[in-house]
Amino acid sequence: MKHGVNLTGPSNVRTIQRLIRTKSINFVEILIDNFLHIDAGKIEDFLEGTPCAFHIMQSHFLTRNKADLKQLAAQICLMGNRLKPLYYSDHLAYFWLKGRKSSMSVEVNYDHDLQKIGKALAWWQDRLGSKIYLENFPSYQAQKESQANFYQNLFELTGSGLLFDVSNATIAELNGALPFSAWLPIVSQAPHWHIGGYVLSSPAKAKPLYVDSHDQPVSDAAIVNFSRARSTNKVATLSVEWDNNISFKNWERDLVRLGFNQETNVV
Amino acid sequence: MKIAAYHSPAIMKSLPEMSAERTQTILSLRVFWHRIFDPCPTLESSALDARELFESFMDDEYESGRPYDWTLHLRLLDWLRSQKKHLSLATNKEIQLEMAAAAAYSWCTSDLSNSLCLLLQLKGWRETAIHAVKYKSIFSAPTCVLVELEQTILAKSHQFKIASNKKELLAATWQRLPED
Repeated sequence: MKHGVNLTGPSNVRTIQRLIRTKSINFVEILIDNFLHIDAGKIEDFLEGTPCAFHIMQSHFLTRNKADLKQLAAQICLMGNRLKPLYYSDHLAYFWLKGRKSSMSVEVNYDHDLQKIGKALAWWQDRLGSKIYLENFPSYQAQKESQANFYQNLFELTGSGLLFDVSNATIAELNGALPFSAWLPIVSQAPHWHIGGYVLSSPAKAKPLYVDSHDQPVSDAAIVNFSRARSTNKVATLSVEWDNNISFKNWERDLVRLGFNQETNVV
Repeated sequence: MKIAAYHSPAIMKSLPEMSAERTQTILSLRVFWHRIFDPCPTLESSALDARELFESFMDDEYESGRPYDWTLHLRLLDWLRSQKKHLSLATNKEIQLEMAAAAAYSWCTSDLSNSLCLLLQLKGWRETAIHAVKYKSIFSAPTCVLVELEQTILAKSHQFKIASNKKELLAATWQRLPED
């Protein structure tokens, strides 16, 4: 299994360079839409031969118009031709609603949007010319149809796959939305995994909710779930995500807790 | 849930206490708070009641149907200008600069086109503009600086130019942002 981290922008690039040079990681997942205006050669130089994967946050393929998506796909493919990512991944959520940008991603309706979402995803996947691995959502509330069932149906419909975010599935369980075990039947189809920190948010007069924050160490509960799900599955890559409170020590500590052995570069 | 509630403090307060919807709306508004005030500390510290200002603006902005895109701070500036009690904030040069830079920075981080730079003038500016450049290398952050224009022009409304380099930027045509 390859162990990697998420490259999102200038704020974490120096730390990731150190992780590469100390051989603490052996792949980098790039939030590619933040780097589309940078020459691919510069990214190649930065990687120093370390493999990469592409994570996409701003395609907004459910709502963005097709002309803009085509243009975006062309830019991503141009990067992909040069950097040869291990995989392409994206998010299934709404980021724009009725022409207005949402400050947080909004979970889709699993009860009756399968065909509509399947059509949009298949079209976007065709534009990229590569299988898309969709990250599971850190749900706040249960829906009648489970997210795991919906994803399974979506993958059968479109040929896409699951980017299994262990901490998001843990958050969904802690929020009472979906038991972690609901994912176990389909994680065998997920070669690429994520894990990161989350926080319990407890505003006054509101229900406390766990939120995907990537600002603290991976929780013990997420590590237990990781071990449980991994025991029966073959994982090709694991990206450990930090977006805030970034430091070499924080990242390295998480990698060690997840079992990464720096000496042999394997788990 | 009514997704619209994500952006309106008034609607948030009407949601049932201890509900997940209320929490999500509070968290969403918290993101907006940081988006608005973090790059504009002078605005936050100069407002008599920053919370009241934020909630009134967000409720009005929700009613307006505008998109909450990179122009959000420019909309806020217009809103401050339209409110008698906030007029002094809107005319404060330091606050204007912070808000123009915040809008330009937001363009840098949200625009996915090949364009690399933006020139932004606020309504009423004549000799100066904010020049913003997306980061050029993997190691550098976007930059936003105040520049003097070679050709002075009175901006009758907020206006901007976008281009892939500085030379093209100078030749590009100003685009006006629509006013109410």
